[in-house]
Amino acid sequence: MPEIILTFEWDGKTVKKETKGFTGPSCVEKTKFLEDALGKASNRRKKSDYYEEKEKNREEDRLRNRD
Amino acid sequence: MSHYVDIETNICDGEALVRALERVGFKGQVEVHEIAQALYGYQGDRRQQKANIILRREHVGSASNDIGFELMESGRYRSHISEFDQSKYGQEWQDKLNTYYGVEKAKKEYEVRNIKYEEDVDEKERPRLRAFL
Repeated sequence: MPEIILTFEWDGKTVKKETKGFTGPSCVEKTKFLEDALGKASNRRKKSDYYEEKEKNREEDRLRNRD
Repeated sequence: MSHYVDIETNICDGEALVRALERVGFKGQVEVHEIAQALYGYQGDRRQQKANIILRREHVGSASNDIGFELMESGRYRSHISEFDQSKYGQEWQDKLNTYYGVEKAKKEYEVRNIKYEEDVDEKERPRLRAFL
């Protein structure tokens, strides 16, 4: 099950957002409402599963092209 | 007479602000007004500042003035906290309030979307929300 973990710093300004179980860019799309509510994201780092899904999509594309 | 220090905050959701104020010790003590109301000083003197969300001085402390949050045209709230009360409700308190505001704002967003969540603290005692989509 996809999960969003928000950790709030006591400075009242910084919120760390971590996502688990999302694949590809869907995590950015499905958690955008939090950025709208809490403020704009900075220092966004994509985890390996983001790239894994993109790599998988490319592999699928390659297989289709071969047919 | 202690002057008020007026600061425009990034707070824009009154309901989440009320919940945050309750979490920092003012449960059942927060006044909410659609039309901004006057703040009063520790001697009962009416001050020129007005606010939509108010902590009356009897809840703030002895010899304290009202604390208020006024909704601005920008959609954000401006805090009114007297110089006298800055000693207890200064930057550290305001940072804590802003932190809890963020927590309560995020919880509201989840509730609107029927997203289940759990609240706890991490190993550094920072508030943490885990939501399950």
